[in-house]
Amino acid sequence: MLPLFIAVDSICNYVMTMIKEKNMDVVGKHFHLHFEGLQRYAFTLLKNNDEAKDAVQSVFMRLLENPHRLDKERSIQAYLYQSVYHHCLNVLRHRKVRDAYEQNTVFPTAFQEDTIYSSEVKKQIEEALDSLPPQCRTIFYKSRFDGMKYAAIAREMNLSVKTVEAQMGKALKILRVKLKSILL
Amino acid sequence: MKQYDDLDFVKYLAGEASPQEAMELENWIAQSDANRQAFDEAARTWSGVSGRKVYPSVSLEETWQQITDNAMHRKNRARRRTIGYISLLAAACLLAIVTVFYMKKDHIKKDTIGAVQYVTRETGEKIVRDSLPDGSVVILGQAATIRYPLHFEGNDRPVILSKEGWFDVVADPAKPFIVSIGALQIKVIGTTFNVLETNSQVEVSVTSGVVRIGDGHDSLTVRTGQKGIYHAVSRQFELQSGFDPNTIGYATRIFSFTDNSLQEITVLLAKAYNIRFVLNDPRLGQCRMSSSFENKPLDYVLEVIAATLGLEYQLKNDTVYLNGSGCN
Repeated sequence: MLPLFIAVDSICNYVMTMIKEKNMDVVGKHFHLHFEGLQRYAFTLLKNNDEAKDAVQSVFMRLLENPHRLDKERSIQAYLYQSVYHHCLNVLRHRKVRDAYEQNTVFPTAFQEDTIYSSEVKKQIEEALDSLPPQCRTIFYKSRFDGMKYAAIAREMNLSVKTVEAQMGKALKILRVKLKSILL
Repeated sequence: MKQYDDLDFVKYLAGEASPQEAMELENWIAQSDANRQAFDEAARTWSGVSGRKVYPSVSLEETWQQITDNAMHRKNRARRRTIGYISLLAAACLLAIVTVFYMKKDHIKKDTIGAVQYVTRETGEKIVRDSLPDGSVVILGQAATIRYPLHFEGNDRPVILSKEGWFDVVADPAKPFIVSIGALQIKVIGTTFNVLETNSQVEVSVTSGVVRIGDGHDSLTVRTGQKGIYHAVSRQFELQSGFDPNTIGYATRIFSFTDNSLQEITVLLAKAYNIRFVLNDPRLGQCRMSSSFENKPLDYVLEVIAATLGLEYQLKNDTVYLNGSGCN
């Protein structure tokens, strides 16, 4: 009886290895297809490169551990974006708690130490920012440099979210045209 | 197809896009070089105004390598799951036996409150496995009760439990899975965990993922490998960094015995495999052994025990007879 079960067990082990390799292949395909987009999406939410990479990595890790998702999910791509989103929300929530203890929250403000531009370029960027219409500029600053959510800006300025969206679009358009030649 | 412009780009770059929006925009970007250039220009502007370059790119191959390396390290956990798949075959053999117990000891009732139909399930001495409406799996311990709607139609997936149950919850971030047990609520997205209710406390042991337990006043996050304890009387939460995997072996059939007595081992196996042990000599219960089993067929487990302790075994119906002359 015992040798029989040992034989069955090693066959099982072999089959499992095969299944695992196949899963690895399938997950690898999704990874190569969607990594860039997922990483960018995570970055827009977290504004931190390492954390964004971690987010995408852990989502794929989980997929490898739960290969049955591959059959179950209607769209793996949608599942991946959902998962990255929720992972990032958790990171942000965690960050909030941590920041409540440590007061020195660092949001990307204009011209940090690691700036890579010459003083001439900086001057042009500042001029472009100054050229924005007042309300448009205020909204853009709150989003870009204070890290505020659209909804929070809308509440604070007593505007609709749609207005904030439109003003942000307008700001980017103006800046993009003005800075096109210098930001390459 | 939707045409994208600065408004959409900046919304995305500012971190305001929903997963659906992000996915659609990324697919649009991947569609043509012109699209990519338009987006890149917006992205350069967005990061450029703070004096930064666009996020540095990360090496695709390197990242994939790290993921597969990590996956290898966590091989054991993954293996358990895969074993779960394969051993479905083995489990099929046991199914015939187990089915008899299902019918003998388990009660299912249906009732309707308002427009909602509920299912209530009670177990007797035998462990019962049940699938929930969303495909999640629950394994109910002895004398446990579970109650849930026939369809999870609202914004969450509510389940009411008493006594003991092990859950493998299908991930659905939009619909949290909530187990209520006494005053305590256990909230999860997708994970595996065990709940044990005693007279004075509820223990939540997490085998994978993260769960949040709360009683409306306070709450606690319990992560993989940890055990959260809720003291019902004092309403205090306690977090323990580990738990004995054998205590949830009834559901997982994963056992790790380290110098355990046969007495202890038979109690655990009896629960997990819905069987009963008869020893020809009570002294056999004092025999000690070490071994580990990950979701093995009952015959295999009995073979190993018999070989290790020099015993004979016989499996008749639901009873295992162990015969031997004691251990040294």
